[in-house]
Amino acid sequence: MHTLAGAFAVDALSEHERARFQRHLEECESCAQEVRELRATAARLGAAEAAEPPPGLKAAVLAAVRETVQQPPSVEPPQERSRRSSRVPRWVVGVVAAAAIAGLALAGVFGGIALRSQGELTTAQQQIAQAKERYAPVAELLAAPDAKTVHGAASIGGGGTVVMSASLNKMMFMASRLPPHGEGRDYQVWLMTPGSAPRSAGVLPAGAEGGQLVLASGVDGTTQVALTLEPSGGSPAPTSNPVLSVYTA
Amino acid sequence: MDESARQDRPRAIRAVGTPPQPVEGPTPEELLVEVAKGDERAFEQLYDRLSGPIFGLVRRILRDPAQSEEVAQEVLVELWRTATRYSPSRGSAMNWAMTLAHRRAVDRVRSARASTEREEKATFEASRNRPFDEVAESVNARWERQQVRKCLSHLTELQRESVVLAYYQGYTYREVADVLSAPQGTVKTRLRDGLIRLRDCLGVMA
Repeated sequence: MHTLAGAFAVDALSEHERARFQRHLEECESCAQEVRELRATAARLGAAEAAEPPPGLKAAVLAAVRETVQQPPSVEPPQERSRRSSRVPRWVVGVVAAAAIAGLALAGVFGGIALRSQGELTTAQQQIAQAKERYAPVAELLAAPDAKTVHGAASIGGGGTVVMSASLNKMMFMASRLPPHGEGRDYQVWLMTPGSAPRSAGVLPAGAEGGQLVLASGVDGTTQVALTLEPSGGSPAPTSNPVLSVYTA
Repeated sequence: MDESARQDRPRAIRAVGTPPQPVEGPTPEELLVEVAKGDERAFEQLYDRLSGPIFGLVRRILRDPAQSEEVAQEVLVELWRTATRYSPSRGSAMNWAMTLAHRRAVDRVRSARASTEREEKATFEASRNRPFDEVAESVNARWERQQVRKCLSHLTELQRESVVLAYYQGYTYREVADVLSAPQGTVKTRLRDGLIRLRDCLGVMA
């Protein structure tokens, strides 16, 4: 990790390496000091390139400044993109689990035509049973006493929520209002563990039916969950920069 | 950077030369503190001190004059907007401005590069043989440039290429490794070793 200080100081890391190292800096004072020194060194390389700016720049900048509100001094660290809460509130567990099951059941029952026969009722009941089965892991995960949720905004609009439980060794990713991924592409969810390659948690299902959600198990050691756009059907390894990434540990 | 304190700090490699006399008037750090209070006059003075280095660095990375002007403007406005976050304990104003400018320029060049991959490689290959020549003369930067050139020449070839390509071309260390046909781990370490040597040679304090 320490050897990344040089690359970090000159912005030569990929987005997720950068985010990871940034977190590392919070815990490693000697690294933070080294980064300060190497950044100051890089600044000298930058200043050595000084050149006369075009004549119109000053007026343009001063005009823009007159119309720009300054940021209030903030005690929050800059670039904080995700919000985290330690526990899922009880009511959320009930509401989300119930809504998930009811949503699918209702779609099954009322999505087509009204029930007219015992046969159709049986089919509906089967669909409800399937829905319960399908959402049982979701409900179980949400109800886990150590379930943690992390929300993140995507750089392309919309966002997602990760729910993770160490005791169940499971996680799920729920998308919200992500823009359409377009023809021939899919959203794919990745589990990142320091020191190993990103592992796919699956491709987000295309339709809105049942919600855009993936579940994964064996999440031990995962510190970050990321979302990328991949060729249709997903890739064995990410081929683009994440549009969303949240820290889970 | 504190110019006087620099003399007292022992270093493996001596800092070269003596810096030129500072310009009269408030320091950029003092100006930035005033800018944080919404002082537009202080900002104008700060512009005079920092716009040359900001524009020069951005243009070195982006090359395209129109895009460089646009990004330099963004950086300068960002400096105004976020001055409230600055405190002299976070380093010099120049350092702050250069970090911001580099980050913005690199973001821009990377998104542009995604669409013109092949063209960039050609530019990049061509630039390898002339890493620090495309510099418009500017009186204030002459001393600085001399120091940087001298110190860069003290690096090993791989250190120098790694630093120059990552910093001035906006490449990730993986891309640098790819173009230099060197292992990624090696480039990562050379980048760090190279910057540490430069730090000592330039007498940088932070």
